[in-house]
Amino acid sequence: MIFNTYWFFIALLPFLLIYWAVPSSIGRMVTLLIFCAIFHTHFAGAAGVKPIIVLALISYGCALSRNKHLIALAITVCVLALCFYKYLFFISDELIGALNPELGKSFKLIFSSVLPAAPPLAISFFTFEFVHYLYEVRKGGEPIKNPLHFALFSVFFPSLVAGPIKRYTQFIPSLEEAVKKINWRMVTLGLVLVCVGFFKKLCLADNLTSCTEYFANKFELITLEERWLYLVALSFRIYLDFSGYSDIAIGLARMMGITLPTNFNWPYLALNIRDFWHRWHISLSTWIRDYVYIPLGGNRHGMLRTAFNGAFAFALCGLWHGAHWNYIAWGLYHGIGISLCLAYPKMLGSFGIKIQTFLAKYWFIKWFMTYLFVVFGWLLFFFPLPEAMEKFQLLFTTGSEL
Amino acid sequence: MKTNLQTLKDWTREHLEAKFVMLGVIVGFSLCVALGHYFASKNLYANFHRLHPYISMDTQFLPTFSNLYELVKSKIEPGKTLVIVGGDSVFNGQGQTVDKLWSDQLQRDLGDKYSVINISFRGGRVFEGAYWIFEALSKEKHDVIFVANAFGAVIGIPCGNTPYRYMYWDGYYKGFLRDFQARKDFIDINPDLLKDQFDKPLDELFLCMQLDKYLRFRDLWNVVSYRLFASIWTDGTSKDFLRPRILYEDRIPVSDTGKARDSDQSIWLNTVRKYSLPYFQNVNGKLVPNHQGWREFDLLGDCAVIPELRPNTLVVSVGICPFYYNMLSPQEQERHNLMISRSVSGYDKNGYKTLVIDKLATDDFIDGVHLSPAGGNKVASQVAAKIREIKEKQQNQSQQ
Repeated sequence: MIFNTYWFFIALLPFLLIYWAVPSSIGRMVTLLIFCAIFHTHFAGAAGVKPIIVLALISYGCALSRNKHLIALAITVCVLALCFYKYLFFISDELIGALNPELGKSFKLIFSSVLPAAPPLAISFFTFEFVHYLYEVRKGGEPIKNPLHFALFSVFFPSLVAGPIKRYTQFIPSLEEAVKKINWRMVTLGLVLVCVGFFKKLCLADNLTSCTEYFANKFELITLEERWLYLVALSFRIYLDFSGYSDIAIGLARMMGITLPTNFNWPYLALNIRDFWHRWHISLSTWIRDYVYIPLGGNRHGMLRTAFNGAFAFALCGLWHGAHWNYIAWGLYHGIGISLCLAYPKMLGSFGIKIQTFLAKYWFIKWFMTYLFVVFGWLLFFFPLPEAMEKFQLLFTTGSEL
Repeated sequence: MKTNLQTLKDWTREHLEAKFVMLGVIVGFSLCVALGHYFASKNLYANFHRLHPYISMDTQFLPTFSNLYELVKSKIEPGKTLVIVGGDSVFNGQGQTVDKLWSDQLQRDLGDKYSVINISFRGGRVFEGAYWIFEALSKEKHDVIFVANAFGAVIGIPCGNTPYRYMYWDGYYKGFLRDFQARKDFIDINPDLLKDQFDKPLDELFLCMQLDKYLRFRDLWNVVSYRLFASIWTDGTSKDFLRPRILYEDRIPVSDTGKARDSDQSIWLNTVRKYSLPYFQNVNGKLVPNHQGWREFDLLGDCAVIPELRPNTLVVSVGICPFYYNMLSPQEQERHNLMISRSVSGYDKNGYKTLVIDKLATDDFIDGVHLSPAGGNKVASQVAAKIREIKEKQQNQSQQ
């Protein structure tokens, strides 16, 4: 996490003081842009900022041209850049390597010579934001003309590293309003949110991380009750970690007067899996819905196609979290979960309707089933498939023997 | 149209509320800083015997430089020689319960003219942690002797090794440490010392320590963790992790010597072998010194401790358990003996006082190197004799 580094703390304070003290809108935007550039260069390194600069220039230029072919080309470039930096090793190791290990090794060697050791900082986030922007402009949306606005949309430091994934139609008006006059009420609210975020992250999530990592290694040795407790701790670990980070990002933006989209809304209170995705990592799930699921046809082409679209969108959602099979499995698991949740009343006929009516009466059962579904899913998210399966089985087995 | 009252209410809501909150944040923050500075100048520990696992790195409780400095200062008494004990788990008393701690026996052996404080760490090196406190205290011209055990030919780097390097930089940035050109030069020509084990620069550590110089958040947090509640989960504290560390007892058990020998034999044999370097076998089968290794040893010995403090620095080489020594091949035994004699002569050459304790029995150990209470008592009496000898010589010299 970048926000809990001393560098960030030391750099942020003078920046905010200058930002608040600067009297003009342009001055504030320039100050913000300079800080964003310093922030990104510090954490990504000089070489690490090149991809964002190149992709931002391409996106800005192509969108301004309003040429649909050029915009489609820019979208392709963004997607390819993401695949290139993040998924090339996955392709060589897991796809080519699975078919032909020797060939996989050869490809890996070739890729190693062209790829940096780690993907550029925040590439998953800024490419998604550029794709959203280009897609909306291609659909007829107004492009961002002011280069300063576009630069800030591209490198806005609070949301750059871990979201929320911004929408330019919301961000630009908020930015324009924010730089006109400092809203101290918003600054205060932002500060409170930042504190809440740090508390969630440092005091709760980090402790749960140490605890769950320790017990993960001796999962077969702990009691059945402790295993279930571990699963609950795992679910709160990821929630508090990620939502804490989002709170800090949203709070920091608010301290500058800028509103970022909400990312979490009490996800573990969801009453079905669809509801969960309306509450969990909202900026990503709506992005996937708007730019993958709906363009694929959504639910407009029959049940089979809807199921395929949903599964594909969620597999992609899983893959976005990391280039490993377990993330894909986690995405598919949720895709299947949503499909079943939506389709069971039709599939099971009158029995399905009865279940639906029963569950509508007893919300507690719905909530419990949803939570259980989600926490089982976290095993897939955190562990390679065989280990996740083993841990899942151990949840229903006393002792260490499977 | 808005009334004046409404406008005032709006203004209050917009500005005053927010400003009060901001003012509260600033006042609260300043108060925390002031408290941090206040507590940094006070002794944190109550009923202290040693840095046991609940008040040390083992459970993520990182004593600050000020914590240890004030602790040691609290032991200074007029007319008494202060003995600071440093080193690793052997001198920390691993294998001895707190009521059978060797350094408490050392205090009894030395008598009323001396005041002993044991601030050695598990996994610490001979000139880490406790030595820096000794160096910081030397600014005030107290009568102090520093005693630490050396394990094999391992000195460690002058600005600290992995878990304890934070303490060097803590003392450095807070101005506790003295200017020492040889150490500075050594760090300057070895930029890798400023990187972590993953080859990443230690910038965050430096920023933390620089910031802490002014804000003293680490001192404040240690007081909170020690007196009120701890905030970090560790497997050592587990379900009780919120419990203030002052409530934890020093519960290092006395190990069953025979059991340790049965279960960890290969581990300790490997450890002993590993620390019998740097001698290697040449083409004729003879053991010859690894010149590169010994050059480094001598260089490190020369830039770890300020020369004027070396006559008051006693390096103790405690032998290994005879049970393991006898398991070594004749060649390995020879190498081990050569290593001990060469490292001791290296310390001597650099102006340190040295003591070799090698006449210990198997039951004086709980494993390959750690001492049982009986072994601890033997070591305490020999160290006490050596300290008295050093003091007597110094007194004779000053009289002449």
